[in-house]
Amino acid sequence: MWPARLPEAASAAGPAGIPAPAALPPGGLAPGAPALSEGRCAHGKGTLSGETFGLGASTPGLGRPGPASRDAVWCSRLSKSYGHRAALRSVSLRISSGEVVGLLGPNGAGKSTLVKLLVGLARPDSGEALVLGAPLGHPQSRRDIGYLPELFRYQPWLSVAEVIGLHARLCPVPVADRRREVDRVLDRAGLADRGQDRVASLSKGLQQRLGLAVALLGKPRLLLLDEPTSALDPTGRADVRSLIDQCRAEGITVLLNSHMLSEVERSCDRVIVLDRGRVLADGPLGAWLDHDVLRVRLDGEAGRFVPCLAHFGEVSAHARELTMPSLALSLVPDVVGALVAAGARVVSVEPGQVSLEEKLLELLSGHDEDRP
Amino acid sequence: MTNILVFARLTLLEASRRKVLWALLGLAVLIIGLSFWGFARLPAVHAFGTSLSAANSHLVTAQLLGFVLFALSFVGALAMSFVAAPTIAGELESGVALSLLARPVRRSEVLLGKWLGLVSLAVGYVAIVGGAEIAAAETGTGYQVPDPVAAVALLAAQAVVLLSLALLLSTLFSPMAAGVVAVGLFGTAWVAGLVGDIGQSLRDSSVAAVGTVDHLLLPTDGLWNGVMNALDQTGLMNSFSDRLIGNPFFQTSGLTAAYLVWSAAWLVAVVACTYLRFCRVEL
Repeated sequence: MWPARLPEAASAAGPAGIPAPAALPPGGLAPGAPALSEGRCAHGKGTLSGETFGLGASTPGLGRPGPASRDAVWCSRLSKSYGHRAALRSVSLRISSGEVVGLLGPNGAGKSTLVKLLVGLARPDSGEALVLGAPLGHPQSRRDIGYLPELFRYQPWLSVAEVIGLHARLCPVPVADRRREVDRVLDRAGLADRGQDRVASLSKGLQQRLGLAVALLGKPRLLLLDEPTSALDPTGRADVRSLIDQCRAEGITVLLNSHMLSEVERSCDRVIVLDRGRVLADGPLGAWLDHDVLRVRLDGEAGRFVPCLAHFGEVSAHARELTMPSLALSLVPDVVGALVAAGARVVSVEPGQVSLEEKLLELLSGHDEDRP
Repeated sequence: MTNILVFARLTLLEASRRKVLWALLGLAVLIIGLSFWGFARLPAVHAFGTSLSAANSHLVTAQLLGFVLFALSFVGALAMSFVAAPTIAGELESGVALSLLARPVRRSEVLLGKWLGLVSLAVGYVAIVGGAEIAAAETGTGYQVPDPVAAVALLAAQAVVLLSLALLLSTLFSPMAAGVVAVGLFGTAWVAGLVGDIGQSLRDSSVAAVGTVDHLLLPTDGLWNGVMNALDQTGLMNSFSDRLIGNPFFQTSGLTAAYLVWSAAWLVAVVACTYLRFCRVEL
């Protein structure tokens, strides 16, 4: 177990630490809890989307001073460096029980590091965190965490059923239930007929299914899935989506770290975006995607027609497609007219909503511009 | 305790499934078979037209037994180094450790389980093979090892020392580097012990000190000397000691209790260092 170090302010306040969430009144701090104060847990300017991106008002939990009893994950100013490279910088977030949250960000943003800290596989340099009411790496929380690592392997010389049996022992699943539990997760991961196969003989996709089966052992309360579908075929991805839906129905908290944005879009209630170790945005998915956008597909390169549409507002071009956010539908005929007048051959015009990918790219490019 | 046994069993299962166990037993059968054939022919050997005297025959048997046990211990040392070295480093590198250490298990349980599994493997191998070899010598030549239990126990202790070192190296280096360094240190310790023996035979205290320091830093050669001593009859030592001093397969003095305590303390310290290092490893 690696308890997170207390920040300096907390050390000054005394070693009282954090009261266990179970001891807290719903939604707030225990009266007189000395170590937690508004100041200690205040998020730095620009760190959270609440201030920077206008999503905070509807973001669950933001602005709350400390851990609440319904929090499955609560982090305050969590930082982690590997040598001189900062992987996480003062990350503060909370995930309520039963939420399905997507963790997004470019490669090297710190997503996997955050997940490893939550599991207790790495130690934070500073900051505080509670997972299922226990400090990072506490055996009690590990018992209730199902974890699928991004880069993992199982013992190639064991059979599928032996790997699951081994993890069932370590979980620990009671002896009386072990056989049934192994069969249950084998079936749930679509490996019911592969139990006797050696791990070495499995394809990458089947090994990922095995990883999912192991993560589901013991009916976890928190599921941390790090790129769960990277090696899966479309059927496998659909299975994972259905699995997440089932977890949601059962009240299991899910943190889904994935580059498959369509998957996040379909499965998650909320997204947290990390970039260069910081929380760039944190908000409900609905609020993110609730923006109209007009997509115009042309027969040819779209970029050269951007200037002729500039007076309609914001326009972006990608290959043969023009995208115009926040355009009133009444202006669509005028847009098409302007394009035709400029010599464009319009193939299709599609009013719709902004996609998660578009929103994420916009967010990340905006953050790039902020870079000194 | 249950988790320790789970990891110990897993280590033994890996050795079996990866055919390490069978390879070791195959090599042992080969060495024991060949040496038994040699021992059985020894009484019929003639030197300078006459058969060997009982004393000479026993001396040759003791020396041959030393050679063969050294070969077995060398095979065992190589095997233990290459099995122990990737035990932790390999699992960290491959990602196997990610899912195991995410479970509610203590790192001490993982480490002690793996160590216990490796120790069982080493002790089992040495007990079976060393015992069979000593029995082969007795059956073939009638030579009775004065203290076979001590010989086998010290041989096993040597293997345990080396595998514990390899396990420590496994938390510091890559699997390949850990194995190479462990075998390299084993060989270096043997050569340094030999230099010390030569220093003793030449009555040169500074050269002899090389052996003493070597035995303190890595007790494999010191324990090997104990094995050699346990194999030789007192009468033989008295008869030939002047001519055999400096011979790595002949030891005139046994191990002191202080040295055995030192070796045990060394072992505990290495396992403790491995634990401290393993606890600091981040994934």
